[in-house]
Amino acid sequence: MVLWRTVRAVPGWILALALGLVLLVLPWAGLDFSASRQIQLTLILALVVSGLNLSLGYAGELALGQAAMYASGAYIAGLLSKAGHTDILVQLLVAGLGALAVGVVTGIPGLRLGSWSLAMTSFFLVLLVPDVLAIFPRATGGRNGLSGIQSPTLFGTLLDGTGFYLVISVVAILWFAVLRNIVTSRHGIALRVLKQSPVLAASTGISVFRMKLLAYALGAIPAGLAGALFANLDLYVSPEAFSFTFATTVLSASILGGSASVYGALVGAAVMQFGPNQSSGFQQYALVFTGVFLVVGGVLLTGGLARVCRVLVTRLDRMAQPEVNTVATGTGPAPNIPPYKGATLRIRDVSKAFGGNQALKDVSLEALPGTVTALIGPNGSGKTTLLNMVCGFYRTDSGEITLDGAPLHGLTSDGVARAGVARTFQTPNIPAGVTVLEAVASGRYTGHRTSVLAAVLRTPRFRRVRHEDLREAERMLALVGLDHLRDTEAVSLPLGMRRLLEVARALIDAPGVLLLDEAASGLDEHEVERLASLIRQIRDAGGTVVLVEHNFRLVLALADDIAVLAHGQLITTGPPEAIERDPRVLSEYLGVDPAPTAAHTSTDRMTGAATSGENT
Amino acid sequence: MTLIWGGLALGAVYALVAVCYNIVFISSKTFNFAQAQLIMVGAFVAYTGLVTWKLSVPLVMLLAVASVMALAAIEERLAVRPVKDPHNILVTTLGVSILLNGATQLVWGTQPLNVPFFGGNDVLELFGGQIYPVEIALVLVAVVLVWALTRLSRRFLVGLALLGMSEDREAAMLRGVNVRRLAFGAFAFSGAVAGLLGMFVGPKTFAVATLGASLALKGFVVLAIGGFGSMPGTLVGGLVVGLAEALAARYLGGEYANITVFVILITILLVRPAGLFVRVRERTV
Amino acid sequence: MNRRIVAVVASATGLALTLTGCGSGSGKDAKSADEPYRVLVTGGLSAQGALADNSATSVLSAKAGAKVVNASGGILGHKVEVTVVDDASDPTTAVTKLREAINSGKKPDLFLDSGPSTVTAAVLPILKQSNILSMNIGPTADSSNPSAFPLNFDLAPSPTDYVKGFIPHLKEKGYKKVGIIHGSSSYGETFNTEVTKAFTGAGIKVVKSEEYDVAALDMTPQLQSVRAAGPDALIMDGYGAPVGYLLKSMKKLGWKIPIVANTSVSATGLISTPPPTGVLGTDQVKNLVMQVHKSTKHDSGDAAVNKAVAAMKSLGRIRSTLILANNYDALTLVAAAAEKTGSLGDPKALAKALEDKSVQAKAKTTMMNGYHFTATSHSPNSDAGAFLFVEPSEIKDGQFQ
Repeated sequence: MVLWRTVRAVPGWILALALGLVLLVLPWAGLDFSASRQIQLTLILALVVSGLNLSLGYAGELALGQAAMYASGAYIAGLLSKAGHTDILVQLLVAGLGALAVGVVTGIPGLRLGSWSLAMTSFFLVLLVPDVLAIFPRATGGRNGLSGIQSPTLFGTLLDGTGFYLVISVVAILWFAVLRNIVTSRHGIALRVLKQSPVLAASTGISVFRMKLLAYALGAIPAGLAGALFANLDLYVSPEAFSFTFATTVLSASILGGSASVYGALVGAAVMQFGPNQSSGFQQYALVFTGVFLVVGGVLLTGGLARVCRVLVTRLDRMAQPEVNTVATGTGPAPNIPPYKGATLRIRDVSKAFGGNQALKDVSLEALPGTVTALIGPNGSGKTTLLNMVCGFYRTDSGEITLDGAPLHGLTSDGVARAGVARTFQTPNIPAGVTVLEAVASGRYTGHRTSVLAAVLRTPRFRRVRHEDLREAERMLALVGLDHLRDTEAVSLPLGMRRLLEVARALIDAPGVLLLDEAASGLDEHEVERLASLIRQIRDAGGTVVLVEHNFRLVLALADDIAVLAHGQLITTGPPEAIERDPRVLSEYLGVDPAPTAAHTSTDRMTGAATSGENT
Repeated sequence: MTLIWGGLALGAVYALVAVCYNIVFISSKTFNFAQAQLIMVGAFVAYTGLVTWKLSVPLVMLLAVASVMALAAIEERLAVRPVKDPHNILVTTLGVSILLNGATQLVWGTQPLNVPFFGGNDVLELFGGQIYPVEIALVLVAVVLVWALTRLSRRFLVGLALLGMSEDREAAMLRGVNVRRLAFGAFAFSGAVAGLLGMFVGPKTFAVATLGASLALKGFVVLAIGGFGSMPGTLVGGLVVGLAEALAARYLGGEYANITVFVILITILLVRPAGLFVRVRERTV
Repeated sequence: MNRRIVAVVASATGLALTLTGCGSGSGKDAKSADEPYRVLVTGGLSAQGALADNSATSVLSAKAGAKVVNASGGILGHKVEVTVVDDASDPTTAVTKLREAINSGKKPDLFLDSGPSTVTAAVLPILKQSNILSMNIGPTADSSNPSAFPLNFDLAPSPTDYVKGFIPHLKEKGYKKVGIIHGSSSYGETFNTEVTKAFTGAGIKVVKSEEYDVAALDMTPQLQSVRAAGPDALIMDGYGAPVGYLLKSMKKLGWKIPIVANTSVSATGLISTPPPTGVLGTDQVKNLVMQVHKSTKHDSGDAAVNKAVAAMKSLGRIRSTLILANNYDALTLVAAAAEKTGSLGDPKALAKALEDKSVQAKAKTTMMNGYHFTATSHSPNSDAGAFLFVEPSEIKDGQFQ
């Protein structure tokens, strides 16, 4: 166990680097030919698979187009070679860029359409590869394949077998380093946010379309590189190598290795290369073997081998440290929120109908900085619909919504978020596979930009932004009392803590308006108290808070202004004292006679803590 | 007219494949990549029953339905139910499809086998065009099947439950619907349909080990055009793909058949991203 | 120089003069007598669909050829050792297997493949680099060009040769205008180009040429399009199920035109199987004739072919037609060449000997009546007499009856 702790003390990338170095010295350690060939084919496949992982595992978009990008890389390199440009670096550069272009051009229509469209269009793209090649038989050799590719050179020197092995290894190592840097950066977290839910991504200001395109197009680069390497390995390419069968091999490798993992691509590629791709040894039973292999692999490996490893590592961690430090619960004095300037949210005469159902009719509302505005009403009264319209998820039929005078209606949902509207969700919406700290930091993604290239190169600017991300996220965690859980996986938290985490994420970039959608439901007394004091702090710091809440007591205790909705219409607005006594509210909303002793509702017990000591 | 009939019959074949995909998709929101291979097995069983064993038609029909249903049921038990991640189902059902390709090749060989059609094998004259009886049957079967399944899903409790599951599995479970048993039932049912279809598809396409691949790809296209989960959509999608292929091959040349279908698919998706018969719902939180 | 001396001394038959006459050595020593002559045969035994049957037949013929040669004492006293590896008909796998064999320390002396041409295209550069003699039955555009691949010989006639065989038949029947229907496979495309070129040269007009996707399920539209051009005869390329679809569509259209089909159609099982499994004897094939090699039609008087068939049968079932069996002749050719050079050690010398007409005459090949390799073309350059046009009949042991 001591040994294990020592191993774990070493950062993961050192292990990967060591593996890479082993790969580079293997030719001098008596690597025999057939193993060397298998390693080269595995690395080439792994490059292609890693491209799919970005799209499928991180952005959550099923795509099969990698085979087509691989083909374009291979044909670009082959044609360059035939034209006399045998330098492998030139070929890699052009092939990578060419594949990127194919990725962008084919990704745009597929992604614009949404849902299954990218899967469908990329699937067709693969089917059309032979047809497209056949249209230019003179240049590409048509279905007979492209032969006559020259042996590759590097700076004018002809590469021998070992030399080319090293080229493949170095390209693979560099790409995986790049991929790792992207995935572990804030961009990687943003991709996971996107995978969790496009709605969540948009609410944190991420443009869903651009982010998906980024993942899909970036994934084209390794496929293009792999194509160039493949063309130079066999000095022959034929359309068959890029068939639908290849696309399914890539998909299987991605899933068996673990799509949401960097090195899973490598593992998955090895599994497919040393498994089904060797099946010709079974002769006529080869297809049966491949089939059984995929079924068994798919059944046993949920989340791929990468997940199996992660579970194992966690278990070993636990064994190595049986007593995890749980003493320091975040009960210490919470830090203060520095004063900031909230924005004025103005909703004027907004209406919305779904089909024949009038969900909202002429609703007007105003939320001012330094106040808490509550929106209450029975189920189906239109509260969440109104919230979604503010956030840009629904279009208004009529009326206008402005933030400090600037119109919000008409903006895309991510545009609304960037304009300064942050929110939490009825059901907490938290990406899988990230820590509590990272989840909170993701709220700063669009407010403080760095480029993907900066993340790859780890530039000073990137480092500075990352440092600020973490510092701010820690401050927010302390504020909501979750600082002791910063390294826990965010989705594993209990419901109450997830809600607080969402508040922290929404608050991290000092939003103009904070929309809390039933933030108190499911919280225990202690947590409700914490939430209530947090909301007051935000208000006192100058923030604008809009609270959609079922918990009537909490609303009365917190809100400066209450708006009551019923059947899509505003029945009344006013301060808590007025609302509390409004007979219409009591009958419509609480369903009780207008007697002030309505303290027997089930919510009462939970809100007791919040109301006690309240001096409004 | 012969051209139109041919296109319709081909479209009907694709539509039937799409219908089978849909049965599984509607009930459990997953795709069974091996669906086309199940139809292929149905065709092989029909061949063995009719030609090798010389059984009577109803008996062969029963045999095809029962054996393919059993295959689908086994597939669900071994390759779908134990899988926890929906992405993995893509891999396992793909595995089953490859397995079936390999197994049929071992059992029936690699050469195409002629499956006789019980309704006659002589060319007929219909509205000025030539057509085989089996092609008329294919179009009829497609229409009747879609009509019946649409009725089924509207009228019966099972249909409702199937729809309920796909809309919201949790809600369906809360309402006391046994999701697992229904998923199993849907799989087995899609297998039974596939077995029956083998009797009709086989006489048009021969029983051949590469049939699965040909059917699977076009079945997906039909599904995408009609909209995932829409039964009437499969008919329209089949009609569009079948006719487009036939007309493009006749007037533009064979090499443009696939490209034409692709252009149509893209155009339709641009106008209706979720296919012709499925509405995109406004996003909900 | 030393090496050559060693070679001469070690050479079992000691025809030193001939050897020295054949130019510089390849750098490979001649074999000691107990060392076998290693033949590597690849074939897509695990391939999907009908390719597997063809590969099996091709591999079987190579094994039978070796068996026969070994029975008569091997080549110059060396036993022929055949190693079969499965390349799944996939170029990448074929390259892997070949490279493995080359690097295994037991480098093959002769490489034979079982097609398709994409496999040939992928392995030829490596074979050339490693200085290995090779023969193939899946010719590519430049596989028969000695300046590109000096050590490679095509055993299968080139598409040009096959097409040459069509012309006398068409002239004899008096067809002046023909239509072509061909698959989207690499063979189908090459066939189409060659046919169009050769026919036009011979004064036969190609009125329409249509392609179909080999995965398609119906080719009626393409046939209608060809029919609209009004040809005298239809030239057909196809293999497997598409052949069935084509014939079915012809019947549906009621189009009763003579069909002249290529060898791949003849290798399709449907044609040679009676109903209900196949279409043999039905009116679908009434107008059909197919090109085959002479050896593909059974002739009780042809002792050499019958011997070859017997040898193949003794090793396994002949699953496809003898069109795929040209590998049987590979070792006969090598033996004749070695007879001349006196050694098996130098592939370049063997290649040169194979170009020699007297060597070719001595070789007494079975599957083709002659392989006319020259210094400028390593294709069999078969004349029209090497082919026959047959009507469908049952196939027994790889031969039409």
